[in-house]
Amino acid sequence: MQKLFYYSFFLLLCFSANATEEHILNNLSQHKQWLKLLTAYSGNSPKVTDKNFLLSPEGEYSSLNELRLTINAFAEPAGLDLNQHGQCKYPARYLFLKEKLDFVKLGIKKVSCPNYEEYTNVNDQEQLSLVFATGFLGNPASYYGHLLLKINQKNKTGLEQASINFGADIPANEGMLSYIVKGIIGGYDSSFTTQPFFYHFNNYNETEHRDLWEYPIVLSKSQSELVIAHLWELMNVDFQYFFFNRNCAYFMARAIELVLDQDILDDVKPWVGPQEVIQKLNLSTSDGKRVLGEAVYHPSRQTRLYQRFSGLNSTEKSIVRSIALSPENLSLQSISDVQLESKYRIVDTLIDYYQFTRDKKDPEDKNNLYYKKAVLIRYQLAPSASTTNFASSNIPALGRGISRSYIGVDDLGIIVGIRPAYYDALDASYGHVKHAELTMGAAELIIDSGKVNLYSLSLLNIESVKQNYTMLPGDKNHSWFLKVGAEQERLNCSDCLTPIIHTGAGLSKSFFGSDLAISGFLTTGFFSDSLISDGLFAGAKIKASWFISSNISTALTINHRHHIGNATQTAIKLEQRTSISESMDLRLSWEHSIETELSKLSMNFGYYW
Amino acid sequence: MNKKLLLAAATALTFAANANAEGPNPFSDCGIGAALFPDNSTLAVTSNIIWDIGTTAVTSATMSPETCSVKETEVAKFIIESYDSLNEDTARGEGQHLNALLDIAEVSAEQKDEVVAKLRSNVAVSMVEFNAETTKVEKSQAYYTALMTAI
Repeated sequence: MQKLFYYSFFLLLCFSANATEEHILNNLSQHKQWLKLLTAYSGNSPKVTDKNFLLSPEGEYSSLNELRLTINAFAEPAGLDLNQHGQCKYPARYLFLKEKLDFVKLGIKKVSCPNYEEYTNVNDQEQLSLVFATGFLGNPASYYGHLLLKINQKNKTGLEQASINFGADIPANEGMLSYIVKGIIGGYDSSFTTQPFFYHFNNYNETEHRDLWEYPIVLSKSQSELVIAHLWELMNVDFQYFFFNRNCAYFMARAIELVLDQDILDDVKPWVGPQEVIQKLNLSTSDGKRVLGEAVYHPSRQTRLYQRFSGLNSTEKSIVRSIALSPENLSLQSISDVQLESKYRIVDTLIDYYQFTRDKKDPEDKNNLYYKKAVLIRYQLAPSASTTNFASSNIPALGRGISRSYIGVDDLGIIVGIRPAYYDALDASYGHVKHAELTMGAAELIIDSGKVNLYSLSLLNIESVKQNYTMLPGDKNHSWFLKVGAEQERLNCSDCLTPIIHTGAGLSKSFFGSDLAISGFLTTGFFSDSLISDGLFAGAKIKASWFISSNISTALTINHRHHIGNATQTAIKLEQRTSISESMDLRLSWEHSIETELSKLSMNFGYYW
Repeated sequence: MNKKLLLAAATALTFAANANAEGPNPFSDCGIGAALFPDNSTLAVTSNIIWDIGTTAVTSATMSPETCSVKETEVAKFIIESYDSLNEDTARGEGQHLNALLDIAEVSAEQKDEVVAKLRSNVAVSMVEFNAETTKVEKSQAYYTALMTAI
């Protein structure tokens, strides 16, 4: 009888222990951090599409099953290649579970992971940095800027340290149209990859002339270790890429979110921009402490040229101009009359100038020869580091949100509009190209006599304004624009929405230290609601945009179109923006059509978010 | 006359480098130039995606441990990828690209001034010979040789 009692008691204990263990595992499998490690952000199914990432067989995924299989993998004896062991493939899962479970009881012994340990041999503080590359209008995928992570490895200089990039895997020789369409509809795989930072640094700074902002991510050592370990296990793992909301910004932010006090993204928002992530991280905390440290600025070659030129005195500028106009005179002799410090400044400016303007692929381009001469002259001077302190107040973490919603009125009714991203000639600020425009998916509704109509639609609006700040030969000021959308056929109509494609190429020139830019374009396009030849037009556009003060900007546009059927349209538009606060503005505009003599006044109040 | 002297110096430097530099030249002996520039396209190196393919090619071209050390290959890769910025830093005698190269090449802080002085002199001499047809691989190779001679 007594034996039976003890036996029953033992069974009950075992059952109770198993039940407790089950309960712990169940709870753990729903832990927010565990779900994030599985890329199941917001509690949804994993974002990862790579079959090799999840241990669960296809069709049998659950966070609990994945947890059990992970524990089993961790308890496996190490094979010949230690790097292939579960603990080495999933170091973040290991770090997470080690804090929550009794590994000794589970029979899990620590396995050494040589590759992972070498990769994550990082500095004692600020182990990780987030690098923002400013937007680049030469490639659709780079319009909104780019994000990279940098692992601040011990005993390596910044350029040697490992960087982590996230990008779509684009086949070689992919056509531009296919590239854009597939990028938008999710036709590409994408993944995290790692290379030494200098590959990206040179590409962005030198080839694409994009400034880089390197933000240290300030985390406790254990949190930092967890993020880096997670990035390690995500390396070369496939995700489905969507240009607008499953892009570098999304996945970089999700990886960092692992240790943030509050998430900065949700899966509902249809777009995520790199600058938005930087701005949100700038307001984020981890364990109550701010996450982003003070940025290190890496100016592009173009920026360096402009800042160096700007820092020259009038004599030095005159010498640089004289050499640029008669480069055959470039020699040590040509700068013999100035002090040594001036020589350094002049030669360094000329090196940047020729590097910026030369065509490296064209052996006939004489600027290649002048570049070499300028560098050789620098060799002939005594060694001395560059004395220019590069700086920029165009800090990407600051400034307004990237999206703007607005409400307003015009002569025809009440207007409600949204511009998901990003900036126009009146509100370009931190991290944007001054006087340029970049908007996608903007739409306006009008409520006119009780009816609601789509008032305007801008699928894509890009205006690339290049200013030849130095005004030296070869510092090109070629500008262009492309607008695809729909607008009202006449100023006095609210239900005459007509598709338009409008493009042009021209030149720009800036004044008053680049506060005022004037551009002229020759244009062509199509504006009609039916596919008739009369919709085709050619024309010209003149635009002046002026940042009058830090809060007030204005733009004047004169746009003439001459259609094949001899109809002409000449529109004048004057706009003014007043910034009320960082997140609010007020805009006034007046439009006039020369041919119809119609005019329209409008006003709207905008909120940035 | 001056140019002839420089030409002679450059030739002498190349011979000296070949005689003094230890181990193989990664550009010529490890196939790094061809691996990085299969079609001589700068874009092929700077594109992230193509770079991945490039890395694979470099790895396979330089796997043989008895011919090419990791350090030499890393030095060569850094030179070819950063050539212009590195050359400008060298002309100035200072700069982040030059510091990174010296670090990869394992030049100690004590050696640095002497190595940089020799490197400046060597590179300046070798650059005189460059013309419009000189490729980036050839320039990088000359820089590598100048560095190995300076160390």
